[in-house]
Amino acid sequence: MSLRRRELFKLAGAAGLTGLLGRVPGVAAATRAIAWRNWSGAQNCLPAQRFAPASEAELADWLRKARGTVRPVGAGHSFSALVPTDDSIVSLSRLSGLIRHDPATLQAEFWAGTPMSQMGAPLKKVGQALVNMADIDYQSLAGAIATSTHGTGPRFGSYSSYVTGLRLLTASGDSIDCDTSRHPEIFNAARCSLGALGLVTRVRMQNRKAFRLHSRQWVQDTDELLEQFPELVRKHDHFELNAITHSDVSVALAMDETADTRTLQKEAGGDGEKVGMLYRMHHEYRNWPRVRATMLNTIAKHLIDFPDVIDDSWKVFANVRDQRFNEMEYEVPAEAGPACLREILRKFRSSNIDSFFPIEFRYVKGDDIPLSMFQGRDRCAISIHQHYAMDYHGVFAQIEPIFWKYDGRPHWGKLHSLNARLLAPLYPKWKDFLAVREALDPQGRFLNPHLRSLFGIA
Amino acid sequence: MRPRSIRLFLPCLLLVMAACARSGGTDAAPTVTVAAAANPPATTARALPPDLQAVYDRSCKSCHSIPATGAPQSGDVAAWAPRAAQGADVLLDHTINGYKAMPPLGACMDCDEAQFRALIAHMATLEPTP
Repeated sequence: MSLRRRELFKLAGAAGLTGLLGRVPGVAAATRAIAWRNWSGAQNCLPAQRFAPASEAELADWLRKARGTVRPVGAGHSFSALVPTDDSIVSLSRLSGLIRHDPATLQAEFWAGTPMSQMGAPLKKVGQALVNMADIDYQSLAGAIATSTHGTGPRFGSYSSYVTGLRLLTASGDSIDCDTSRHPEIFNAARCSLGALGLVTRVRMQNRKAFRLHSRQWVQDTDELLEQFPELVRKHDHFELNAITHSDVSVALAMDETADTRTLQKEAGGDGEKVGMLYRMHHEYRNWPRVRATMLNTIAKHLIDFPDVIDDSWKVFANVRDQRFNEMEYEVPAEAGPACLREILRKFRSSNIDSFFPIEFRYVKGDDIPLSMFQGRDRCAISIHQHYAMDYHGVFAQIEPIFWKYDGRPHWGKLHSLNARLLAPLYPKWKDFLAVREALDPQGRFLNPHLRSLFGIA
Repeated sequence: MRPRSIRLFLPCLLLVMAACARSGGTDAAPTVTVAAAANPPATTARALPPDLQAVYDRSCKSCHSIPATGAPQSGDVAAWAPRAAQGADVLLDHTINGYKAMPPLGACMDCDEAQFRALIAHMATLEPTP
């Protein structure tokens, strides 16, 4: 009831203001209280204001006047509670596109609200490409670097590791341009900041010459793939596997740079058919685990086609994900990755865990960013998914302790149960980040309850 | 609940199908499927006012004008017909809450209900609803 009363108050208040002031550009009108929610639907809030500035000056002016908590919002593809607030959410969607590029250094500066899906084409026009990309490109650039979002490959770091400069608007509305020579301590912290330092409006990325990729997928026994994993990640530019839970097999994915001029386009549409098959097998045969395993092994090996793809790099990296899910991901030391995955897969079968999405297993190069999950060493990223309509708490609670056993660090944009007491020992530069945050935002205007829990700030 | 016989029959059928597939294809070259180039749909979408066109360009176009995304393309009357049949309120609900690959709020964090309705109508070539 209290929520309804609050909604009514907000509606009445906002409607009154709108009536007096008319439509304010960039501020949502109040014909209906529209909640914000993330892609999976697990996170939501009813902010008093949704704001999308058309310029940095407008944003700075708004920041000086805004009251209450301010949280940046990108594409809503984080699964953790980084965004929810009752006060204001700010979208940089109007600050989008390529600003400038340098053909000598192969660096390019983008507005931070640029969707990752909108970077490939303009970069190709100037002969550049992102060095590596994640398996989806729905994220905004600011959101991707705020959480050290990553792809796969032992020679490639997360998006954050390719940031060479950025502009940060602080709680006071001040603008800070930073890189390795200007405010280096702020720069390093802001390369993965969870949106806790201010609003990043511009990002300069270190890119490479535009290139094409050849993607191949095949099904193989998971044990074999894990035994061959060190060799496979050395052999291929980008390699990952998707272990089919409750089975003995995985789908391996290798992507390599190619000079092949043919184009084999990725099939249109999403992964609904394959995910639907996994759901049916799980639903129908969960009580007969041996039958289910045999069915999954057989279908995956013999009845599913995985076409090769050859195209511009950004078109090959990105996939359409039209089956919504919630996700937990931990990054474990690279050498522990195969053992950790094996233990998780055993747990799925021994406890007959009620989940059917494949487990994604990737490799990411280490970096030196204080809050990056990859700070200090190469790590394997292991991602557990649960269909959005199925309860994830029980599944993730059974798997998360296995990650802890292998010194895992949780992905900031994905679900986990850690707070400051448990996170601080995982990050040698934890206090360095907190000091920068305290200096830039002493009043904690960019902190919502989730971030306060993560950083141990009351 | 399905009859037990179906549950027993399906695994057998799939195993036989797999065996047949294997016997016919073990030595064959890997299948390389070239996706058919998607023909752009016949576009009948009406022009938008400049402010909504700007919203469309930054929030909708990246999926609803690229067939590979699987999203119904703007002005593709046939693709929108079954969706439109569900009613404008359902489409609005999918826009606000997200649906399949569609992000909540359609990637427009500051849009209001009227703007969402107008954008849906534009893409689906429907008469705008109030």
